Amino acid sequence: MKKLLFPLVIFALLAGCNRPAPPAPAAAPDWPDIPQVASYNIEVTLDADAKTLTGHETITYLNTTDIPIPDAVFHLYLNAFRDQNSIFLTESGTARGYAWDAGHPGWIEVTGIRLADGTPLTLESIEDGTLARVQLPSPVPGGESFSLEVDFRAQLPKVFARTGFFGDDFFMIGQWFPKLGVWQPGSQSAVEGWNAYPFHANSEFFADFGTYDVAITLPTGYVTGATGLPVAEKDNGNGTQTVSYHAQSVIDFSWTASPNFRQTARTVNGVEVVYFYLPEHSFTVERALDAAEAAVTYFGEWYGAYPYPRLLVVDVPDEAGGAGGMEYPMLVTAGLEDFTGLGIMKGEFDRMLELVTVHEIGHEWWYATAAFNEAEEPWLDEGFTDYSTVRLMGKVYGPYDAVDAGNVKLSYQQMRRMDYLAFPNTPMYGKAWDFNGLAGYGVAAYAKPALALTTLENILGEETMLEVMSTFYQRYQFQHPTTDDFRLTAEEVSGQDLDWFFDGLVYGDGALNYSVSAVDEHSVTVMRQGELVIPTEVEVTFSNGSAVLEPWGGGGGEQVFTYPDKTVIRAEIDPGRKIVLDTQWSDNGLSRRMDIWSWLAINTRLFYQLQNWMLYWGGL
Amino acid sequence: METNDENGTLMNADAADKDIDQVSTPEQPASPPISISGAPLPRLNGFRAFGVGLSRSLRYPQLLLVSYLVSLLSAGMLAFVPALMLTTPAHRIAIREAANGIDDWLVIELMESPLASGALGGPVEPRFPDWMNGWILAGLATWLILPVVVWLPASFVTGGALLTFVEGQKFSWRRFLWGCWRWFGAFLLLNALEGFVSQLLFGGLLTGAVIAGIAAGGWLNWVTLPLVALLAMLWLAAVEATRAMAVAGGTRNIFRAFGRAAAAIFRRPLQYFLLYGLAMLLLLLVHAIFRLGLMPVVPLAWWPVVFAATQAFILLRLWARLARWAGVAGIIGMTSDG
Ligand SMILES: [Zn+2]
Repeated sequence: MKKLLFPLVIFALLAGCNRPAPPAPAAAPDWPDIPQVASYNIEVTLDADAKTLTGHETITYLNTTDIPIPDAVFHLYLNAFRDQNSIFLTESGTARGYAWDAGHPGWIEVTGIRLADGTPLTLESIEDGTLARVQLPSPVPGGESFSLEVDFRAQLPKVFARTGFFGDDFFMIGQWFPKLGVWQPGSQSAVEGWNAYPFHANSEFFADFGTYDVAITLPTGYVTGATGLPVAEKDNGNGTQTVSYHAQSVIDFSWTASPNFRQTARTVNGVEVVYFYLPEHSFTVERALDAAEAAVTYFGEWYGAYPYPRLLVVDVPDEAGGAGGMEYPMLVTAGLEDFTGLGIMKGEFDRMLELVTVHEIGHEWWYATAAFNEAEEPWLDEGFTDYSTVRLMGKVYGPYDAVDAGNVKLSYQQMRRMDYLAFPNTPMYGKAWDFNGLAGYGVAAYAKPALALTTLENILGEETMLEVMSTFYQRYQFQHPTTDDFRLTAEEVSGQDLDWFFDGLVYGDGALNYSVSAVDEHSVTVMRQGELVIPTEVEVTFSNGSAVLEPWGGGGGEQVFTYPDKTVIRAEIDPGRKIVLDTQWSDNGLSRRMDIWSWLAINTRLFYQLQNWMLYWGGL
Repeated sequence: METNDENGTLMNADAADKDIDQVSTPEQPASPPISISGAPLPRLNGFRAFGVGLSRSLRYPQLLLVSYLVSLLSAGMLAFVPALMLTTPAHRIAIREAANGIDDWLVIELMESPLASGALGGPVEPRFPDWMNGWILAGLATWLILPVVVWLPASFVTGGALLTFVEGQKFSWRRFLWGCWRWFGAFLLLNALEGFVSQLLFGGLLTGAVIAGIAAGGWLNWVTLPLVALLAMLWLAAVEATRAMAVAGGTRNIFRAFGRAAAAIFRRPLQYFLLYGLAMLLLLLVHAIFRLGLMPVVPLAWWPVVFAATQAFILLRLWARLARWAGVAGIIGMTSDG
């Protein structure tokens, strides 16, 4: 999910090197071959006028642990939008900049639940009704599966917090069916048993991999898109059609429908990248596809190939931004908002469309396949994704990859630095609901991790960092990795003790400012402010033109370097600006000589600005 | 009556204004205030007024020179303190990047410096970068004295410039300075009122328009924003016509002059609309050439080139303003005559 807010590469060497991907017959798509833990067979009907869903699902769950499963715990996410008393709406009445509309609530109701043999079960609601539980007649031992038959109906909200309807005929349907939590042993999770939390405002999702076969019945004329591949389409002759999708080794299933969608596609490294767009956004086609192509290409090169046969990018209506900028397996939503309100800013000067597209596609690696627990450790999926976005945007779109409008130029990295500098005392680690207010969550899960991982890359070097990231991805693809798993991998691959990163940045809340506080004829004084310590170096330049690079651990508050035999001209701490978390770069370098030329250049412009202001104030 | 003695009889000149409509000067007692020279211009439409303004502003390069000197002097005064304070950060290596054009990271850092400093806690006291305090103070001081610095010289020069345009004679420094002095107080007051009303009126209108745009949807901006721009132009025309009317009518009662100017605009709106439309287009053209054509290709660190480019732009802006004044003086001269 977004918080905001191509040259081809040598691909063959890296693509999918660790993946069990034997050449498949041309006709059959090549799905990742892993245990299918939580599988759903769903038949659902959309009433496009009433905005309701009526469905039946068969759930099959495989116990991959050696702990017997006595019950089943479901997410009923849509109940978060039922009324103001839900945990979600008590925590925040708005999501992603849009308010919940009390006139168009959302809810889901389980109308029947039984075992595959017909044995009826009793469902009990947990907390605010976004969770529910059934007792199984007998515990399901490790290695065995159980199946449930569930009938449900749901009311879709007006688009809010990623899901719902907009206008008469736009549907983005996510978190819409009764869905099991993740059965985990205590060794892998904060809780032993069902890892499932009520739906919190800041929290996203956590689920097992499985197979989804979903048949959607809806009025004819609607164009549909979904997680998975379309496998069948049938006109029912009564004004409705049924479209079926199949997906394998995915953790969720979402779908979208509107009669207004147009579509276009591009094949990128064997992946069919499809773009669903609304006619009013036809100008976004090339930009969205270029961004998607760059993302699939570069992330594939850096971390490992995109593992599914298809990727759908969905455009959303201007005022349904609550549905935009979200990730699901094989489906992401993007969207473009015109900040002027004039309908004339088609994103010529900003790359928010590209940013959102790249970010959401990044989640295909860091969420959809390296399936982090987004509720317990939100910094992982958002942070890894945002770091990847910063990296890709800079590589593909140049130094001003976020905004490039005349005098206003901004890189995405600096946008994140802007967020970070407002709340630098935020630890990255914490459960989604530990971060009060969206600002703290935004810094903890997005801005700080993006800058911290960029700093880690600058210190380890690009090559080592890519090895850390790709090793981690290859190891934990189609699993549920944690912060500890990342620490183990990062320290092992880099061969370094990364306490400064994990203790200082992930768990710590200290901030840091390095500066050169004095340069004298024979000495240089450097200083650290704040509790955070990151090893760095000081470049000292002498009058004879020579220079020396002094390593400094930063541990003490202050350090003096002396040079009795040489005359110091200037000194700069962290001259490569590797530490993008340094709260002030402007005081990193100091010279004994004033830079008169630069001083004059700035004064020339200042002088002109004053003349200019006076002209405006004095009547143009 | 004597208006330009050193005892400042300007102060009690208001009483005199009530019954004079004629400019009286030491050299030209009771001379008719308006005498447009050159070919008779029986009907000065907006196009021709603009043309007259352009040619007349070029006929008196002295006025441009004086305006430019005022600009240099005022900006110099204002820039002095910040320039002095910049000598400390000019020892920072990052100053070179600032000289090349303020980069995004620097803006963000400066903006958020107080927040970040508060977060540093630790062994050293939280603080702005050593030069930030100075900047903030200098900025505040500049902000506070800016209106005064702008109003004083600008108000002073206006009377003389308009008198020169209205009379259309050979340029005389004596006459010019006399005009400057005579209308100094009146225009100071008018400029203060203009500034106050502009901020109130257009601050409010613009805020209203933006809120309405947000509430009703973007399409409304297409209606409201041009409307606000039109109103702003009308307001500018009214104020400038007031000044010209005051000089042409020999009065320092700006309220009476405003009434007359409003009536004149109401009688012949097209004339003023054309003159101000063309003048705004000229201004827009000058801006476009400078901002879109020239500045993007000038490397900002090459300050001598930047200086030449920016000063040429300022001169063109001043000239465009003088041309507008000359144009409106032309219209008022003609209508008063005819
Ligand atoms: Zn995200």
